Amino acid sequence: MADTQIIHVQTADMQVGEQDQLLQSTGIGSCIVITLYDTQKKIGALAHAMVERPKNITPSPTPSLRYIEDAIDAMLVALKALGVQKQNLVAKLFGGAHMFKVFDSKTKGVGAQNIAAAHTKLQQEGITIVSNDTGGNVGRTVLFDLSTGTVKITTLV
Amino acid sequence: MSTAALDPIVLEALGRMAKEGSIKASASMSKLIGQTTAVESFAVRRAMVEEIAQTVGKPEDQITAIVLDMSGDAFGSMLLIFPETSAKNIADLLQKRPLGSTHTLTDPDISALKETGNIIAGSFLAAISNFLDLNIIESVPRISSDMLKAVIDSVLASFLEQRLEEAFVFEIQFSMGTNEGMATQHVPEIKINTHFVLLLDSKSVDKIKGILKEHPWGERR
Repeated sequence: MADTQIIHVQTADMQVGEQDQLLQSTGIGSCIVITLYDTQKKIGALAHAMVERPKNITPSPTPSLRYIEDAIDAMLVALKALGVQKQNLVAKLFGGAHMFKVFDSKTKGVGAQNIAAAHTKLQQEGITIVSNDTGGNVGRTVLFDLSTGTVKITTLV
Repeated sequence: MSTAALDPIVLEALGRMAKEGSIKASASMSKLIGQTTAVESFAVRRAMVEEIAQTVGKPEDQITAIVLDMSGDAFGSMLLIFPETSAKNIADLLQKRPLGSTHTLTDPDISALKETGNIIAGSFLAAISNFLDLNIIESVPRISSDMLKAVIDSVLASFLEQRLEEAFVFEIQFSMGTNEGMATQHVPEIKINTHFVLLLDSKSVDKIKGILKEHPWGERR
């Protein structure tokens, strides 16, 4: 682990990496972190997206890594450039928490909408979600180990 | 005058309004805690939405944030962010406990902090409403204690559909417990650090810019 490099992924950002690298994203609340991993090549990507792509807005917003669907598209493009085939990828999801009751008046909170949007997009892409730690009302930090595909989650509580 | 040229005017005007609000808030806090409260320092800046958390602190810093929504003549949200130490110190002061007593915020502490948020944010809002002659209604406060970035991003998420790009961030330090005036018990002076984040939807920002273009010093009335 001495040579392991940690790559920090900010909000509305995405990074790819390979064996001997760790991808980390901190302070995930209602946002969604998606990890994609090729277990054979030991190459993966992590995106920290904020919301689903707005619907019914004219003109449609330009693509942005803020949006879950665009972030997943960007991950797939970056992984393809490294020779990864989509059918070899597995996904994990983190976040989508309900940090305030502020959004209870909506039919569902931003966190729950984000979880649903990520599931829908990954299903459309034919990528299996092998595990997730989503929902609740706690902030999370995730550390994605690209040598194993495991993800370590830490919280303040 | 172009929109770009108006931006420094908006920043300066909001800074003056918020400073006036923070002075009013400190007077209200003095009554609430029974100790002299004063504004020690004040700074205002703009921040891109994605950069608000790093403007305030480190992503995993434990903070307590109180949020109020605005409606009426302007739509948006106000966040009042206390570092955990400041939140616990306020809880101690409000509950008349020795400083340093609070290790975990209890339900009564949370209620007291919400009331503090109501007072401070309400003072800011009154200053802004008076200056701009706008009728702005605030919601009941909500509170969350967790990682800084997790809390802030969760509030910002609801603004992204409105294509919000920037926010106004006010950094204020209050001193409390100087044991002067109406003090009823000896409390050593402590510094309470807080960040006040003002998030406005694009229509509200345009409305405020329009008012300030005509009345940059608030002589609208």
